[in-house]
Amino acid sequence: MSRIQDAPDDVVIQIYQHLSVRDVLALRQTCKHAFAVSCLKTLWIFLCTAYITARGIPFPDTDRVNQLSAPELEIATRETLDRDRRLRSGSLHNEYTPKAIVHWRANPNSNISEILFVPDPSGPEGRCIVTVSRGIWCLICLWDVQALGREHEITQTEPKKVDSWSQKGAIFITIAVNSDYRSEASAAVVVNVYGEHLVYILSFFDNAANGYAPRIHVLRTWNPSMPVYGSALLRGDILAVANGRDRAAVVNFHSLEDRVVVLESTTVPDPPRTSNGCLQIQISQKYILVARAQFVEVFDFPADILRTGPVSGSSSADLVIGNGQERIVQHPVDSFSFGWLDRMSISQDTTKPDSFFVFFPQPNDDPWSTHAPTLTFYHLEANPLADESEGTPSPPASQGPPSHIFSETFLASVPLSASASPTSTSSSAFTKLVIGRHHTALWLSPQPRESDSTGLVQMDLNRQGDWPFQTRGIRTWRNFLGDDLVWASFDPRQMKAKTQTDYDGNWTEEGDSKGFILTNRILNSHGDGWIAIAYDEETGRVALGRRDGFVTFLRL
Amino acid sequence: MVLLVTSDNKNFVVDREVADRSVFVKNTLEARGLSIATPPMLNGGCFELTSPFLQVLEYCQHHRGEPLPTTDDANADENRKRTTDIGEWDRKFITVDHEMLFEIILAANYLDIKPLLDVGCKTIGNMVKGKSPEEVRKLFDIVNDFTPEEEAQIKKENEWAEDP
Repeated sequence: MSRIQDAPDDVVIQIYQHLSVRDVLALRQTCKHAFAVSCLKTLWIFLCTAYITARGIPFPDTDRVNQLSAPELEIATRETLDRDRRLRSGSLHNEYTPKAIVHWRANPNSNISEILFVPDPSGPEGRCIVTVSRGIWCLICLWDVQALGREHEITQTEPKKVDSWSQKGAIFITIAVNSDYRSEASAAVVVNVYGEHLVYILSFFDNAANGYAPRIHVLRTWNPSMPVYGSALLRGDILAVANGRDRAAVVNFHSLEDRVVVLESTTVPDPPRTSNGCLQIQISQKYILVARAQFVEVFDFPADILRTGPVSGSSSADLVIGNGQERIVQHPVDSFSFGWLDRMSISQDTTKPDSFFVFFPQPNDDPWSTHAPTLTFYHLEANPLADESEGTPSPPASQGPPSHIFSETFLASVPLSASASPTSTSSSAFTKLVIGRHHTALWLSPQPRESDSTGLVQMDLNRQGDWPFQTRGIRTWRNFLGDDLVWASFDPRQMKAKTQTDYDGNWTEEGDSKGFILTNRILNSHGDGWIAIAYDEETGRVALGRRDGFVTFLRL
Repeated sequence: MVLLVTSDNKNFVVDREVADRSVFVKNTLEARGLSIATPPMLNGGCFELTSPFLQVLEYCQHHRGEPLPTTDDANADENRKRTTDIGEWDRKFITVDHEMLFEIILAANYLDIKPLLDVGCKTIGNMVKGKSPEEVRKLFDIVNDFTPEEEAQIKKENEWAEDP
């Protein structure tokens, strides 16, 4: 008599591998033997590869997955599949109910103007998030959010403040969290201390003692010798900051004094001397992108920065040595413009090397237009020809414009607000948005009132810190019903196919959008004033920083 | 020609090409450099082996000479597992009672005949698809060895939200 319950484990595993997750959960309930086999980690690694990773659904990397225990991996797999199913059942006005929402008062006296998830070696869900409050001086706080909002682990209702850091006289400029969890540097904070712009490289963990005890301490301090504005980047050992106009500096934080690579812009803003703040710095294997308000410039990845020995000047770089520090100047190899933007989010496309997703709100600069601003998706991809010519030294381009290494493909546009209204034309300056690496995006969609009452006009004082690039637009608060938090998934392959044929500039709810961009409305701010947004795509977590010092944490 | 002996001492003389469908037999023959081997000592030999072995031989006869699946290609392995469709001949071949189906799967697993193991597992997968635990138990004559408390707990922990 042969039955499932008498079969050896490896045969039962084989059977399980031909089942959907739903059927695995049914079969495991039949008897003890089937249940025991269904708990094996090998099975869940197979299931998460077959049903999540292979389908491009956001999930932590393989090396993070290996860190998980079998029950943790099972929970993560099931939650991810459930989240994806609910996300993809969306349409324009679909309501998405998060698994958990936790609010807490992070700062009783001031706003939460920046909020970021901190990757760490403890697991795919790092233990902490970091908040920045801009008071007279900035205050940086570290919160332990481990297992926060998990219904099966009733821990604390509010997360614990682990540590805080503040520097006397420091006016906050920007913060970048290290996306490489293996690095000892957790974050780079740029502050203005009595007129001098300094970068503090912070570690959020004590590695020495028992495991990873969260604690803030300063690893290094760097003076980039230029006024830093806008975004910074910290990935592994590489630190990059930019000024508000035409230069970015890249260093290895282990050897700050030895070598700096200066990325010098060659594109002239139009009109000249207008502000051109850095919106984001992003890197890939071969390139580094500096996205500014008026254009995006592509530079060769400064590989010299990772070397320790003496460098040989490459074709696009000039080498200057002074004060014992090597200073390498690089010029862009490609550049493109998407108009004059207030915000932009660029993520690496995980499916192709040296390609990116670009996501930005496109302001409508015509004050008489009734079209609401839109959110636009582009895909940037390194041309295969540029790859081929890499091995052989190309003849020096004589005075001509840089050859196009990247090609840009328009993917789609969606309206920023559900209802088009002239009052919302300035709102794109305020929207917060994040694009993930796995075809999802999150943004705040301002909801204008239908009536055209004038209301009080109020300058948003919290925005002034963003000067000089985000001063456009004065928001009439009484004309807004708060922001909607919107979560979307998009399919770039379908987008390309569709937009080439039927996109005519008018996005319609039923037609073009369906199937390739699915949006879900999660919740409305109701005047809570969300001013910061953090999105951990791979574990489905969102954190919002509020004007009143509260933090809203969501498990999607 | 190769002589194969089952654990209930039945002798089968088959073509080398047929025997090679089983990676186990193939490797054993290659390792020993012999044309005669007596490998398939199936699990303890407590049950009648001749009839599933005949079935397995029939499968190997039909698929003789086809390229064996490469084991090193992980992607191909996953694709193979995720497609639920079964070829016409295989589908007819595998239309047997549940007991024989399990015997074939066990034999295919022991003899390392991956395509046959897949056909058997896919067939079980198609039978299980969409069924409740109770229906699966009935289908395969599985004895519920959970206590009512355990069963309730496991049921609660394994709920699955369906698409409407």
